[in-house]
Amino acid sequence: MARVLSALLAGVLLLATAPASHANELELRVRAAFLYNLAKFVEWPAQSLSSQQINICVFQGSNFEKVLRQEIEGKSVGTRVVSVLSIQPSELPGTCQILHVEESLPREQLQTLLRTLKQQPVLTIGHRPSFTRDGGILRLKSDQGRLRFEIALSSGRIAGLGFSSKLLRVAELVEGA
Amino acid sequence: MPRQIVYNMPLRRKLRLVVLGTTLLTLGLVMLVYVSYEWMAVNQQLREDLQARAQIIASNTEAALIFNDFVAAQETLSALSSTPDVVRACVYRQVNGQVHTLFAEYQPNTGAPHCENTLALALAKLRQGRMHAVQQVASDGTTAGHIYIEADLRKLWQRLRVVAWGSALVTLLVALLALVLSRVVENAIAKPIMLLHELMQSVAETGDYSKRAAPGGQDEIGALISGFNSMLGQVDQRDRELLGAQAALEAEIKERDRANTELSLAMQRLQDTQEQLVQSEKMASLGGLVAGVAHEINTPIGVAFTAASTLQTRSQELKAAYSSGNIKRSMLDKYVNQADEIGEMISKNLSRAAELIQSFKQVAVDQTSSERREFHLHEYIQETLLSLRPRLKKLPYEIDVECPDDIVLDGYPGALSQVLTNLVMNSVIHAFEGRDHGRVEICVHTHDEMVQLRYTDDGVGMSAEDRKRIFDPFFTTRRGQGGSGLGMHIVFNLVTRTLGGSIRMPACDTGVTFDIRFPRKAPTP
Repeated sequence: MARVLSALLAGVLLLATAPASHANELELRVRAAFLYNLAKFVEWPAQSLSSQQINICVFQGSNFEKVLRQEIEGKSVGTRVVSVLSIQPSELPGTCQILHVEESLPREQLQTLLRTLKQQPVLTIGHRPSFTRDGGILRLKSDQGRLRFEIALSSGRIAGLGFSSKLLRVAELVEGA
Repeated sequence: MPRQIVYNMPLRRKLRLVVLGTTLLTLGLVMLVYVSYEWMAVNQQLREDLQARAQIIASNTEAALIFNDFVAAQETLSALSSTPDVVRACVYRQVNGQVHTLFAEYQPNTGAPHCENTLALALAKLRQGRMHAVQQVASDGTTAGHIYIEADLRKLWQRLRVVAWGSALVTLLVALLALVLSRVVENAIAKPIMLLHELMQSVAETGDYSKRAAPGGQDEIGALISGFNSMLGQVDQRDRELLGAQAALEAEIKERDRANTELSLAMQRLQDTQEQLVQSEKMASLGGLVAGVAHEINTPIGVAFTAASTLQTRSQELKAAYSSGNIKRSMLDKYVNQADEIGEMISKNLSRAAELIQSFKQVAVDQTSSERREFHLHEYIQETLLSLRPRLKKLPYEIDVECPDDIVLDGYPGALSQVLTNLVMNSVIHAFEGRDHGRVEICVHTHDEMVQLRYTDDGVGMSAEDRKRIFDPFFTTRRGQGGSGLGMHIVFNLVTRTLGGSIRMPACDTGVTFDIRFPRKAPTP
């Protein structure tokens, strides 16, 4: 597992020289490792979480689902095992702890989704610059070829999530919706 | 030498040395241990401190490492600026499980070099006078990187400086305290001993044993003082006893002196008596001599008297015949012949008597006076023996004299005469008693200025015991039969004192022998 992670981190370094315009295979793998690492620094309300697993949800049919399954399906965070679930955009992701929203999802649909998930203990991760303003909690962005992220702490608090101070230290904190 | 110096030190200084020395030595050791312990403890504490800081930084840079955010790591590291002893800190990121690449760096302007590119290089270049901590950054069971912190030892030195100043202060205080304490101890120990010492010196100088030291406490010094006092008391008492004994001894000596004086007086009286006795003995012997002389002279005088009477008778007969006229020629011839004979007889006997008287006179004068003169030894011996003849004539004894004719002495002939008389009379009275013959030999030799006279008889001799006492005064084997016991004593005195010689009586088989030695010239008394 450590070797896989190291390989991923090496990939992250390589990203510095890769074009940031499109999400290729390597970028998706880095993103998967990012998601996995994030899970380590986030706390969910105890009643919303089974003691065995953490569910990372993606929308059905995306490329990312495949990469996620390859890279982090079955890894453990603490005592819990990571499992990847694919859901329909219309479906209510009640069992998800992390929901990754594709760039391709239209903004109106996203806003509806985020409104629905407000006050639900689900860490929503997106890419649109307006993602946190629309009610999303964590936005991934590429900054000078480096993958960085911003967190809307108020939205997270409303959702009932706790963030490790270590995570907050490296994150960019923004105002939520 | 240092031991000799301590040995000869005054007691006061010795005590001070002990108190101060012990205190400072102990304190020094304690300080040494304390500083060493402090050094180790502070060192340990600083190490732990540094390690804890490394842990905190590791924890805080975990997310930065994982999310590749070196800016955040830099920010975390910059918190170290509040701890000035940290000279540099490096965050290494583990890329391939083994290689550590430099991820972030903290390097305040301390002159320390920048971080090496890998952790291995950093660890290989550890520097003296610095301490460092390495902390692994763990993330959910995997190693994300390492933190390397290097700090200088200024905190340690600060702490040690404080400890050193504190120690010096404590040492100073304790030294002062010890000085005060040593004063107290000195007063308690040295002072009484010094006083005792002074008293001892004063007693030694004045010899006044009635002095006493002021009594001390209940400790050993008090015991010493009381012991010294009791010793002084004993010496004092012994002195007094000694004085008493001396007085008693002096009294005894006086008593003895008086007794001695009395004794010597008695002795003087005894000697006077002895002298008188000796004198009367001499007179007695002189009396004997006179009697002998009278007897001796009697014969020639008697013969001369008879011859003179006969001559008178013949002369009266011739005168009667001549008056009557009937004188005959034959008658006259006969008378002339007879007168001639008788005259010769008278002359002969009278000259014999005169001769006797002359010699007796000489001997008697010599014996009664202690006149010094020169005399012819051989002749004088003959004269002395001649004076004895009346007493020896009827006895069948022989006296042989063997003496060179040329010996002339300067001395006291009377003493010699008395010596010979006594020896001969002793032989006659004791040695030859009841015998029909006896022989005496007088043999004289000279050796240079000494005269040796050996007197020998062949009589009964003497027992060894009697021989030992023969010269003692009043020793006699004829007590109550006329012996005074002074004869041989007189002989001894005359030989040793008057003649200045010696007399011995060697043992011999028959009879007795006397060896008399005296100088030709008698010593002046």
